[in-house]
Amino acid sequence: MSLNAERVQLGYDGNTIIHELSVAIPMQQVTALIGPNGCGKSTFLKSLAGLLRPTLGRVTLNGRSLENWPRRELALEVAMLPQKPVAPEGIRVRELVEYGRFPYQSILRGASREDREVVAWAMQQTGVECYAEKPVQALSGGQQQRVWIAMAIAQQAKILLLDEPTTFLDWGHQLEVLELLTKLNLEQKLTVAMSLHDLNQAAQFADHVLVMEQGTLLASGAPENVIETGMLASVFNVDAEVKIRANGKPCCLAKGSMNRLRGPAWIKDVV
Amino acid sequence: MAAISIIAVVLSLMMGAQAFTPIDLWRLSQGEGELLQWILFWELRLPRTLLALLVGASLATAGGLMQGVTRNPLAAPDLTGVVAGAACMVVILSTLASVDAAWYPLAGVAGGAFVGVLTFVIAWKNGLMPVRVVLAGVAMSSMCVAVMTGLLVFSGAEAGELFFWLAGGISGRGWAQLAQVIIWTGPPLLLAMLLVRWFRVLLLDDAVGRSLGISVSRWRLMFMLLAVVMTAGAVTVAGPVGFIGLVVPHITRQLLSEQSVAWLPLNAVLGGLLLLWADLMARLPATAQEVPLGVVTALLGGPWLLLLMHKNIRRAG
Amino acid sequence: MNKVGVTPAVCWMLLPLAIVLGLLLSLSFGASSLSIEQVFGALIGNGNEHGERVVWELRLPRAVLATVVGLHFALSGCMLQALSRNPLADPGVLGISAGASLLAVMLVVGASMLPIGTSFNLQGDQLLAWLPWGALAGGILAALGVYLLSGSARLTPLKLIVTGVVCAAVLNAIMTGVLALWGQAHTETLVAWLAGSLHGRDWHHLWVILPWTLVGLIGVVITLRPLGLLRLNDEQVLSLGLDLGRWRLLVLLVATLLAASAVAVAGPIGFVGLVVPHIARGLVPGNLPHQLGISALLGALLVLVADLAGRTLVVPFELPVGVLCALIGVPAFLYLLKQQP
Repeated sequence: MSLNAERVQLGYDGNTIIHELSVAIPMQQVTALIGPNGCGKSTFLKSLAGLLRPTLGRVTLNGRSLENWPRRELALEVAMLPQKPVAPEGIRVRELVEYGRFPYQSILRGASREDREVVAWAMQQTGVECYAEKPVQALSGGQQQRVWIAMAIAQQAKILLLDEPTTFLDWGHQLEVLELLTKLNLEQKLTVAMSLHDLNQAAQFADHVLVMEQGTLLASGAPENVIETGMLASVFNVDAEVKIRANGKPCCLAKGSMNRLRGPAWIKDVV
Repeated sequence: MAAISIIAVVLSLMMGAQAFTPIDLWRLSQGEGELLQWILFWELRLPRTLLALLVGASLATAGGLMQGVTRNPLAAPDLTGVVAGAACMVVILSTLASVDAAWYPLAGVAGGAFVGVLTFVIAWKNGLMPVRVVLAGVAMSSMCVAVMTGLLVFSGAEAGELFFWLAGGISGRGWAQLAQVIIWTGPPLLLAMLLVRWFRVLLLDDAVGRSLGISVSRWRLMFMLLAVVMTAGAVTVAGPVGFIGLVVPHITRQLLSEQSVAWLPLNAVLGGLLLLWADLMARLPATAQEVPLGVVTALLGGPWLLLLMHKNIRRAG
Repeated sequence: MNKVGVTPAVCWMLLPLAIVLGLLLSLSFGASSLSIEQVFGALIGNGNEHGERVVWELRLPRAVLATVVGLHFALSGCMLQALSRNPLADPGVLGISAGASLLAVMLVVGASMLPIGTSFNLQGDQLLAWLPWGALAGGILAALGVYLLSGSARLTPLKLIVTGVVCAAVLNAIMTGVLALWGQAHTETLVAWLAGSLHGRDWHHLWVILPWTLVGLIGVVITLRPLGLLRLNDEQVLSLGLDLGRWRLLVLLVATLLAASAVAVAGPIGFVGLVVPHIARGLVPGNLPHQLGISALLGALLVLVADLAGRTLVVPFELPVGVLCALIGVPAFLYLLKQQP
């Protein structure tokens, strides 16, 4: 199995957002995309999911260009969770997760026994089976996100792409979601690729980190190799200290913005 | 700009069931010419031209004011139910009561204000999202149309006339109508121009306006009221003509920044000219009756509006 | 949020009962009142001639037609609201009714201008044969136009609504103009029709619309599951393997057919397609199949009751059913708009 971007160029309405990006998403690992706002993380993830066609280059899944993948077949391999998913008002958790089985169902026939079993399994994996009959909107942010993940894994795709899955959640819920994704990766061998804003979360939970800036890939590798002071300064404009924790993962401590170092003298001594 | 307007005015004076040539016009203005031509010119053509300019200016200004003070590019007298409300009230009065025609504009103001306010009240939910306002306005307009239709069913014979009025048009309007309209549109127009300073502040954020010492909600109400009065006056004489109030401000915005002091006057002039052109085109086809003005503005304004809306949506993301 | 929806079973039982009751009432009341015995007598063929005529030729077809028309509009509105992900959409807002009406009006006006027949009315047989097709064509053209102008495959729900509103406004303006210019002789009938009216409708109209009811229902069944999915984000729908463009078009087509065929027979009745689905969503939140069914039943009931009211409230006059639907529907709609986030 492989999911590669080969010299991909992407844009909307004549604006190019991604320039010639080539990267191989490591299989059965957790990959985090980090980078400042507007660097193209969302756009890139959409192209990996086949939702956006590259203007140049191509994205290949198992060696075949995504353009040659029929949509339904693609849905069996790759699942995507966009930034602000919308649930129809009043829909129950079970009904929403059932939508994840859509690629396996025909137009007229409803859920089969296998579908129901997979749905139950997905809800159990994500810990939402106790809310099965509740309306999705009645749950907390973290619980709702888990429901969306349940829907995505009910699709039984081998690759899960998530666009900023933690951005709108409370801190505790963020960790809930990330721990769930890690568990799914370890137990189900699910390949996870997601964009994250929090660098420490990326460092902690990812096996592989991709750093993007203004549509290009700046660095790619293990967190301890990629997250270092020089990169933080040039990409994020942050003067930071990087410590290695007991588990070998890096952890960033911000000292101040880079502008502070370049600014008037009296600011330097604030921190 | 000036050239276009002069040409438009002259053309308007020239065209119609009996066409004049420029020479005729010159002679008429000098006080010569046949009696029939004289009557046609002075009693019909000239007031009609002036009326077109005035109605267009009123509608465009009303639209410009509404869009500016609600900071909503989709606000306009016709999409917010004001036009329908004004028309509805006039229809109610004319079918249910035999009221002197001089009261119509007042009724129109009342109806338009009532419906317009209702639209905004309904659409308000933590702010006024443009699409919500449009939908509420459409709903209110539909109800007004339903009421008008119901009344038309009862009025029987006069339905035909009313229908013609409902399609919009200024054919056959003379000095009497002009005088009537001027009372209701002139002062608001002038007032709007004079108060341009407060208008410009309202274009900014509410908080900014308040910090500048301006009672934002009170002034907003004032301008909306002016818009409604102007609209009612225009609608009473020309029927519910749509699209002008919505589209013209957008055009003006392309030419000049809204913050400029000259924006409102320019907008009014453009509105007047555009309606004049529309009226010209309404007279153009050689049909026994003129094409109703509402149809012309719809055909002209519709595509333009679509373009605008799509650009708007794309910008909003 | 602890909104408890009514169980679907309750609705499915109550609504048909209410419709039957409504039908019976419609058969009894009107310009002349019939007692229940007379109604039943007429139905089994055992009554007096007057009763039989009133029931079979006047009221029964009209009442049944009212339910069918209501069903059409409500279903169409429910589908369009799910499609555009906006609870404020309906065939009128999106311009479909306007397109259907415009073409119908043009047909009527055009027919009177041709030397075919100088006197006719909207209930006349000859014209009637063509009118539904005209309205249907008009509705489809309008829907197609709105679809294309919203970007076809690239349409977003918001663009669809906005384009629809503009097109509806333009089409309505043109129609008013056409009426004003050439419809002078027939203003009264046309005006009544334009408000949505079931006056003088008989079995002929019913046979015209029923095939489309069948087509529409089949269409609803086919598009049912994709429609449920279409309520999610575009990206999710694509990622679940659904061909967004194709299914959107299909849903739009089915909704258009339902609405346009109803307009063909009864004129553009507004607000049924707008308000009824909203109520249905309140009763059975989240469950699209039930919402569709309950919308259909509720819509049928609403138009039936509105027509009954229009016939009996201001005897001997008749208020067009559309006016009543508007009077009931608009306050309801505005209330709902207030609730919507």
